[in-house]
Amino acid sequence: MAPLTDVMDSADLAPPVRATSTAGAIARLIAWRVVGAIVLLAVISVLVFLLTYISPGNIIKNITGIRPVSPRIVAALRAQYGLNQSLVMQYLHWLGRFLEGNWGRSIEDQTSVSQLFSERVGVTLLLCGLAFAAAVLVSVPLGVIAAVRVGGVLDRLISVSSVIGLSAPSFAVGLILLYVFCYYLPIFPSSGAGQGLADTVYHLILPAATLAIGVGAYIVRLTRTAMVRELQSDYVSFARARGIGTRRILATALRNGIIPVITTMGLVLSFMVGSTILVETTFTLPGLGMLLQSSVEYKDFAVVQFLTLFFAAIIVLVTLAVDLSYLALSPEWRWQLRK
Amino acid sequence: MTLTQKAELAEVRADSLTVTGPAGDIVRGLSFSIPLGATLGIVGESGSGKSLTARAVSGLLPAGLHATGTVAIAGTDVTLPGSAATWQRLRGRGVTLLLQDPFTSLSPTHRCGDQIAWTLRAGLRAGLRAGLRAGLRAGLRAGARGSVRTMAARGTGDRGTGRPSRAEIRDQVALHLEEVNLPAAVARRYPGELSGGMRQRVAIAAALAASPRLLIADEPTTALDASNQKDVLDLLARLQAEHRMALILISHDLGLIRGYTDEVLVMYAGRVVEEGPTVVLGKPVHPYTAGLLASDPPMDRRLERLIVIPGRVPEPGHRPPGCAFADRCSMASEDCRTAEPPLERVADGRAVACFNSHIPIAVPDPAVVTERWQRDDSPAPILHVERLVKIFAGRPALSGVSIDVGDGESVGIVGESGSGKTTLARCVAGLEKHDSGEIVFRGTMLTSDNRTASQIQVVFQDPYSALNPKMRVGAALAEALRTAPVNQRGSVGDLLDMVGLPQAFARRYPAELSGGERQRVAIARSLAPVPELLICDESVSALDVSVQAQILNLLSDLRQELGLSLMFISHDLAVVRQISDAIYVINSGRVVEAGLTRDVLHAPAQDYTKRLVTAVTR
Repeated sequence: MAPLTDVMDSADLAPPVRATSTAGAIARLIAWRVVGAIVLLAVISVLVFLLTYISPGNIIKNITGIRPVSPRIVAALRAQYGLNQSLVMQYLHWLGRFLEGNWGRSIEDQTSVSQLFSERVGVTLLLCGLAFAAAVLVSVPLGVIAAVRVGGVLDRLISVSSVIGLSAPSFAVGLILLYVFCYYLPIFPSSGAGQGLADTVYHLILPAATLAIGVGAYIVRLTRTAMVRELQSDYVSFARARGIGTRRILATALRNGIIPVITTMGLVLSFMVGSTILVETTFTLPGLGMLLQSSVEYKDFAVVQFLTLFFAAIIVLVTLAVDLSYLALSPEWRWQLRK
Repeated sequence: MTLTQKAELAEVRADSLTVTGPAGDIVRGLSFSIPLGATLGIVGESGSGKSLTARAVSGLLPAGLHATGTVAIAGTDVTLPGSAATWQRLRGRGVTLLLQDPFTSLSPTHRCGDQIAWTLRAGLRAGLRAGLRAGLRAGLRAGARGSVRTMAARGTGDRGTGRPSRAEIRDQVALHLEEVNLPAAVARRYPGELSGGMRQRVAIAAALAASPRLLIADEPTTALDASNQKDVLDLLARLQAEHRMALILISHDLGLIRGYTDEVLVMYAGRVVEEGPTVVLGKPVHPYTAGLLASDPPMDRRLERLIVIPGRVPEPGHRPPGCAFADRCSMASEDCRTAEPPLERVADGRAVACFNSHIPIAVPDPAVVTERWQRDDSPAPILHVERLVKIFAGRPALSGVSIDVGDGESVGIVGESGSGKTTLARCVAGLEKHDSGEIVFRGTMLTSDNRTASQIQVVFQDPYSALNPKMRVGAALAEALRTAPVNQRGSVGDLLDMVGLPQAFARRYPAELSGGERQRVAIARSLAPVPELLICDESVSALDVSVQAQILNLLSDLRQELGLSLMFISHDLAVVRQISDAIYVINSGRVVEAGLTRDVLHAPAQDYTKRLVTAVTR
């Protein structure tokens, strides 16, 4: 077989491209992403605003409850929350205040959004971090083991369990874990976030496990597929053919096979942030997920808007991190970048 | 140490090596011995079992295949298949297998230097362990006391005693790169930054870093240009002598490796059909060897028809009783179809497995074509390319190429990889958009909007990736036929007939076809829209020489029958001589020489062309 590429071949020993140009290209990439993210967040804020507006329910009814109120009070409340203005003006007012750093107040419990957020963000971030770390640290090695023993008993065991993990919905997994480890074997607390870091981590173990099982199963399958493919490649054969040890070969194959897995890890992290709503509800954790859920029900616009933008920003950051990790992992992406 | 032991240490041997797969024996009863410092060539078409032999001798058979027999490498005996631990110990320092494709045999995400260093470290570790074992044995025999460390040191001698430092490894890597004529700076490069020839050199450096006693090179030059082929073979020959190792060169092209081997083993359908010193194999006794040699196209003349070995290698499990080659052999008699001829030693040190080995082979003498003396000066060529420019990533791939293809003419485009010849083909075919210049087809300037399928079609290089593996041949051809003008639309049957395939092939999937058959299907597919110009982009370079000759004959026939014009892109001058009336030699995106094929190849005017012509090994 003659060389399939034509253009790449002409790359003789040109002097190595200076690091500054790569750094510059990365800076440009990040700058463009930030611009993109701002546009994206603006669009999301409009959509969330409209969704809150058209969704059923009435904010005044939510405030006043079921007792009868006079039209004067209703009018006063409407004026207080700016509901008598046009839709566009309502949005622009919110936007102006938001950009000034005034994120508004929760209608439901009359505290500022920033206070609500800072009280609850820790639990959710810790929950996601624990779950993600557990999923990656367990799943990637399991996927590698399955790929090395492809077709063997261990591979089948891992594959079957990953299918189960993948198909079980997280609230069901959460309930099962609650039954087993809080009721029959009361090792873990069933609700609350605990006090202090150690106690909080202890409280978060079951919720994090719930989150980790589904996404971990997904990572196992992906790692396995990628590694099976890499282990069949020529460079692995050639490495074996010159007596290179198994550990070195696995590391090499993982380095090449991990790129598609990393893409998925980005998706997984985004998915996880969404799943916190279910898991926090199951384990009654005072996190952002529960806050989001209750504020959507209450049409608590300022809170919904802020949380949505926060989650969106996290996802944008994760995606950017994934793209930057490509550059670290694949020389070909670095060449692409310089073009 | 006795004399026989000494002799064993100085050679590599295989005895009754057999590889068995689910469908039966793939390689049967293969034996050979190579003294250190000598080269054995193993030759045969795809499907002959030569690559699996290489894998069996290095303990790298794919899952599902099983080897029996014995292998001895410089004093270490292995009863096949051999345990994983045995092979782990033996590979690197005992035997190393160099693979065909330098584009895939190195990890794309690791620097070349690191990949050479892995072999170095693995070799040092294995040496240390071997030294430890030898030291322990010696220590026990002598009853001497000493720390493990000193014994290891004694056992390994000057091969290094402990963990080498980074700087030591770097120096070693630089030395190994120098050995393959590459600058030390290559160590910092990724394989993707290097050309095919350079990558294969890096792979050779990586293969030799642990100083193996036996190097098996499986088609080491098939993926390379003619000029690189010769360099890599010369390099292997030099290193083999310097390292005093045994070398097994595996190839489908007997003519190519003939000058580099001491002995040659010709394999067909898993068996040795002829073996002997290379000098005597120039006059083959087995009809198969004769066929292999004869199907190599000559560069100094154009043949009316290339000599071919008809048919294909039978698959394991479908081999006929008697001689496996009988169905393709012009000399086959009744005996050949009933009994299998044994491999028997004949005169001049060769062994042949043929009942008719006493009958001299009638070497066919194909007629030589008198080539045209001048190109047609027809006023309107079918294709006129004017000052075509294409820039990739700021680098010009084509810097003003002008060519003409006359109506019914066959024009060769010749150059090394990276010369821009494939880019030219892709621009002409409309697969890339050129940056400036003109492509005029039958008087009309082609843009991205006014192309039709019945103008230009392409046959690509790799028939394995050019066909959709999930689509039956018939469906693929039917799909292509829908792009044909309605009044000229043929049938799937016509197409198969045109490329010499039986009608039954319409029901098959590409995986059920051999490489040559796939390329025939690919040709049929590109003929479906009744194109006037066919571009063949290295269309025969991925094929065995025997199959290559078949496809070249087919293309000549089609040209005559259909009045096709041909743009034939190749790095192989001998192939171009057989198919093209005129050629353009391209280097760095420019035409450096053009003219009648015969004139250019006989009396090249430019240095670049001269270099290409002298690089041809046969």
